[in-house]
Amino acid sequence: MDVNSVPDVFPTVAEVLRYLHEAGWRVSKSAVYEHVRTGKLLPSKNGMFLRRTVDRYAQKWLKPRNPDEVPEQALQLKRLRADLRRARERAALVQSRVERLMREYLLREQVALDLASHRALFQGLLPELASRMVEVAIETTEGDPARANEAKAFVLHHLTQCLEAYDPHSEEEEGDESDTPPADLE
Amino acid sequence: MSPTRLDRIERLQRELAEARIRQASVQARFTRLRRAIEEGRFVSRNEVETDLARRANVFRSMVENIVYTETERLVKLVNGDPDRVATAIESLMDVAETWFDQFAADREWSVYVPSEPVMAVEAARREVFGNPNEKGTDGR
Repeated sequence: MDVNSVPDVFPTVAEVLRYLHEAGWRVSKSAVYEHVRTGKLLPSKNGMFLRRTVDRYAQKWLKPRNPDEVPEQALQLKRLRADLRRARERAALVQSRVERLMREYLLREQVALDLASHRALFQGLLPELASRMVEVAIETTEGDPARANEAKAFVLHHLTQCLEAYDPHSEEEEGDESDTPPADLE
Repeated sequence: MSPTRLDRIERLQRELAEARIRQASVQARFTRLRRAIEEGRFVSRNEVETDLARRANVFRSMVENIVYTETERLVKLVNGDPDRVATAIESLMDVAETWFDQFAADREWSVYVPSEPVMAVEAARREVFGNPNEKGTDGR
């Protein structure tokens, strides 16, 4: 019997009996009637028998026709386990494909954000670089420390221009004063 | 009391239903991701890394170039000794190298970025992957 074609309710005792036989239970027609009469197998309010009730009744009161034969429920269990394993394996396989794609590809918006972050990081650290360069230039050439601020503006202006090469698309958005070199240097 | 065969069937049926829902969810996520890649919403990570490395190289070369071409003016600006320009160039190259080398180290940086691109990333993720709380989605 195909487990998927088994109905959920049986309208008559005859159909209950047929189901029990097909499922591998040892029981006679008179025994089923007797069990209904004595309350071992109770119909639902509408007089029909729920498969669930019939299964419980069989489990509790009946014996398999052949102990070596795989009963219907055991077959169903076997199929359910196989289906469950297949569903889990399939989900795991597709999940691993998703993870591989996520490792191999980046959202364009994420790339733009990463680039903006790198630029912001460099930009934030450029004044420090400019200061250090001026400091070193003054030290190595015995220059005048009083000229340090002016020199720093000069260096920072050039460094900022270098940064534009790193991320040219941000040029318009930034529009800071570093775009214009200090007037006294021109 | 050990579970009856019917109890086991019911439990397995529940588990199977859950596994199929999970399978459908992961499959939908995979399909959305594939479609988004085909539509060009994603860029290959290799391509991105190559591009970032190229940009960093250009930036570095330009800074080094500035050191070579502008140190003379810088020395003039600080009223330094013009005979020491070559030494200054050498020292400034060291300064630049040290500055760039700090980014090669495995270190985390905190940086402020405007909320707009951050929100754009979140919106794009939602669009491609659906609700981040949905079972079977990850929120990269």
